[in-house]
Parts: sequence; structure tokens; C-alpha cells
Amino acid sequence: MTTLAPSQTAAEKRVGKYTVQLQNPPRIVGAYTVMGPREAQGPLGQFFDETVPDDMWNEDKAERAERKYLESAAGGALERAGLQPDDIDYFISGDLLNQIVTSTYSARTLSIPYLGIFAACATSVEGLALGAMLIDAGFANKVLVATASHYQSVERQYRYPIELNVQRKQTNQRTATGGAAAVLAPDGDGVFGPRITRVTFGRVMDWGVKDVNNMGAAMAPAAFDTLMRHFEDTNTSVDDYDLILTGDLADFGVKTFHALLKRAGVDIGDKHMDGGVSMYWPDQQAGAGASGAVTSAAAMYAYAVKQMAAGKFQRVLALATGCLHSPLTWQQGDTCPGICHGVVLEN
Amino acid sequence: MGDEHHNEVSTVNDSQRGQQKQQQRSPAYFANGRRQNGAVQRTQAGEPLGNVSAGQSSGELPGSRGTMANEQQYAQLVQQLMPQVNKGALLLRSFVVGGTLSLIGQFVLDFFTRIEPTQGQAFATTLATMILLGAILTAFGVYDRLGEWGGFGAAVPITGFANSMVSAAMDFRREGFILGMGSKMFIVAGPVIVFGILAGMATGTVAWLVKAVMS
Repeated sequence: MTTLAPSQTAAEKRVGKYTVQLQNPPRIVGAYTVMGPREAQGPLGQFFDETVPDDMWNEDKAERAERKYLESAAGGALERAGLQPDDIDYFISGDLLNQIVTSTYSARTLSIPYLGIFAACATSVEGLALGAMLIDAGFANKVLVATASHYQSVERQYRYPIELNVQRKQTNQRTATGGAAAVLAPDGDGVFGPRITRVTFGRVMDWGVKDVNNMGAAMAPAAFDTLMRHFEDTNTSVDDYDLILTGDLADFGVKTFHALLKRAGVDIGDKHMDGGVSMYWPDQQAGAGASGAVTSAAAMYAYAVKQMAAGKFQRVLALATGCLHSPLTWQQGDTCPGICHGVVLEN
Repeated sequence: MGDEHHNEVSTVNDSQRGQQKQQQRSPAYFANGRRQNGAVQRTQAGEPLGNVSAGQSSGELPGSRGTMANEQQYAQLVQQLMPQVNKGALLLRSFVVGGTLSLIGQFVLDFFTRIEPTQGQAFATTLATMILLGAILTAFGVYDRLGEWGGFGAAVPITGFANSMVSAAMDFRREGFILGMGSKMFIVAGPVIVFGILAGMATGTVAWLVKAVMS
């Protein structure tokens, strides 16, 4: 009787238990964000590549509008990279709607071999990391990654009808409207943009939070876990990064995240920025801040990547967090599991 | 192994494969609560899967629980960090919104009491008018803001009931009149109607019994 050893060939690109070190780090050669009107008025407004004055974008159905955001972002990213859809080997995309229809229908338009993924609001980094790994491994030359979310389509799937008289809790988050996309290409002469050097995929973490109005608390353990494991695997600390960007923990999730780090003796100091917190001003009636798949992607592509190009940051750790519950599991009394994926962006 | 007799029912190949699998798994795998008596059990959330990884450096990872012992401790931490709600202000706001809506209702009732022949008809017309008002405010996107500011002050009056119907109808109109609006219109108001009728029947029965006993 033969028994298989746990791993017969050593995966030489693995560092520690959870992290992958890319040997030929691909670059983000084009990134593009298209955001809705409320996001345009927020603190990150000036960084977005395109903003749309009408969140429905002349569509009568929010799901179609969401598709339009994703397709426009994908088109913009391709244009920035100076490429046509034909040049792309894989299109990796995900969103929050059931059966990830936004991505699927956009893939129909783009007509590129398509991989659909779902990690709730952590989808952006999952796609980016998978794309980078495909290129590093030599399976692809160019990869397009995208994600989108829309306030109206997501709220009504996860929460209540838009016009219902509901008093938001302070821990509630508001789904951001927009689409974000990036094109990845192998490093080489005349190729510019941040490199993706390391990837840490996270575990699903569930510390028993049942309140769907408190996704920050559900996601904070995942962000904490992935960050600690990344530090452990790569033998780095907060000091090694110019910016640690979390996805959409929002006000309350950030508080919880910081409390967890403090207990573990890590001082994240002023290097931490959260996409959910920075999406809206406090007076924009968004509860604790933004959520939605586009939040982490927008903060990453619109802010971090641009600041890196400007030379302000050299090394950024982007951690996208996602709350993996569905309205069904919530109604059946289940807890909200969270997930967090991280990538290291370097100039 | 305890569940070897399970494999007898399957093919030889399957049984061999099953044995191989079980041999690969360390005792820690089973001891860790993953699989006991054949049932898949929930692992302690977020705990490293036993010491399957003990061969690798760390053993006890710093981040396994953030120095927290269990879910209760995390729940306590979350509770501590919860933003403080000013309940007084919320109550006052809800009183202002609910009170204003009721005051408008009173004016409408006074008006219809004068022109309708009976008090019962005046009540019915008033309710219909307030429902219409709630529907119109919903359609213009005002009522959800009232709710955001005034909480249950906006939800409890009959205008709030109208809002729950109209907001759902507006949302699901996009999936068509029959399968969308027609069926999903009651997604919020449905339970109110069902349990409202049940409560009405219950109180009616009690009232009838009390009346029967008293007379």
C-alpha cells in the first residue's frame, strides 16, 4: 500500500505556512476606478479616475447599472495599459450579487476567458493575487481583474428595500457604488506600476458574531489573523511597510482590529488606513463607513497605487476583508464568518 | 479504526482509499473535534487546526486568538467597543416624528368627521388618506429619511405600514408586475398582516369568552 507524502515536491515559492513569494513579480500596468456620486463627494473623491453624477447611470435596473460600472472600469484599465480585450489571457472578477452575475455578464461583453470568484468584499485582493500568481507561474501573460458593487442592488439583496424606513445602527455600513479594475503584466523593460511581490491568503475566521449590522466585528478577526500570519511568515513587522491598507472594516471594525492588535502587542500606529472609513465623510450618513466589493479595490487602485506612483509609498500591504454571510444563513441563525486576503505592493 | 466496518459496504477500492486517508491523518486531526462519530463538527473558530503544522516553526501562533480564550471573550470585547447610543435623543426624535404624523392624522380625522355621515366611515377615510400620504412620501424618497431620523416613530403609524408595502413594490417592480411586484410587495408587510390577523382573532376570542362569562 502506497501512502502519499503530504507534499512530494516542495513548493519553492511558499514562505511559511500561508504566504507566497512571487519570483517574477508582475506589475499593475493599468488601474481604473469608476465611482458613484456619493463616493465622489467623499475624501477619496479626488483620486477616482471617473465619477458618475447619477448612481443609476441612466439604467432603470440597479443590477444593470452595476454591470456598467464594472465594464467601464475594465475598459478604463485596458485603455490605461494600452491593451485590447484580445490581449488579455484571463479575466478574473467577482461581486456581491447572487451567482456573481455582474462579473459573469461583463465577461460576456469582454469575451475573454473568465474565472469568477467570490470572497464578498475581499474579492478584489483575491482576484489580484490569483492573477499575479498565474502570471508568475507562466500560465498567463496579461490578466484583467475587476470587481464592482452598487448600493441599490446589494442593499436590497442583503438588507431591506431602498425606501424602507429603517434606522441605521451606528455599526451599519453603506455599500459603495462603483467599479474598479486593474491589468497585470509581467515585469520587463518599459513596464511601470507597482509590483505584486507577496500574497497571503487568509482563513475563514468566525468568532461567533451574529449581528449582520456589525460586519466590522465579524471581519476584524480575519484581518487580524491574516496580518499576524503574514508578519510571521515573512518575518516582517509594521515598520517594514509604508502603508497597511485594510478593505472595509469601517469605524467600528477598525476599533476592534486595533484592540485585537493591541492585545497581541502590535502597534500599527499611523500606518493604517481603512477603505471603509475613508470612503465617506462622517456627515454623509453612511453609518460606520463603506462596505461593498469595490471599497477595498477603490482604496487600493485610486489611492495606494497612485501614491506609490508619486513616490509617496514604497511598500504597501493591502488587506481586503470580507463578511461571508448571506441573508439566508443570517435568517437561519448562523454566525457571520469573515475572510481577509493580503498582497504586498512594491515599487 | 472504529469506523472500518463502514467501508465494508463500499467497493474494495473505496475501502482501501479510505484506510489510506485515515492513516495519513494524524491523531491530532481527529482529536481536534473535526470529525467525531462520523459527524462533521464545527471547529473552534479560528483556532489553528490542531498542531498539524507543529513541524513548522511556531507552534502557538501569536494571532491564533488574539490572546482571547473563547468567543464569549470576543463578544465582551465587541460589546465594550460598541458605540454609545444616546437613547434619550433617539426617543425624543421618534416621539417628534410619530407625534407629528399622529397630529396630522387627527386633523384629517376631524375634517372627515364633519363631512362623513358616520364616525366609522370617517375613521376608514382617515386611514386611507394616511396610507396615501405614506405612499406618496415613500415614492418621493422622503419617508426613508423620516425613518432614518425618527426610527419607530415613523414605522409604527399606518404611514409606516404603507411605506413598507410601497418601498418593496418599488424595488421589486424591476422584476415585473407579477413575479416581482405582485409577489414581493409583502416581503416586509407580510408578517405584520399575518400576525396582525392572528392577534385579532386571539383577542376577539378572549373578548367573546369574557363577554360570555360575564353575562
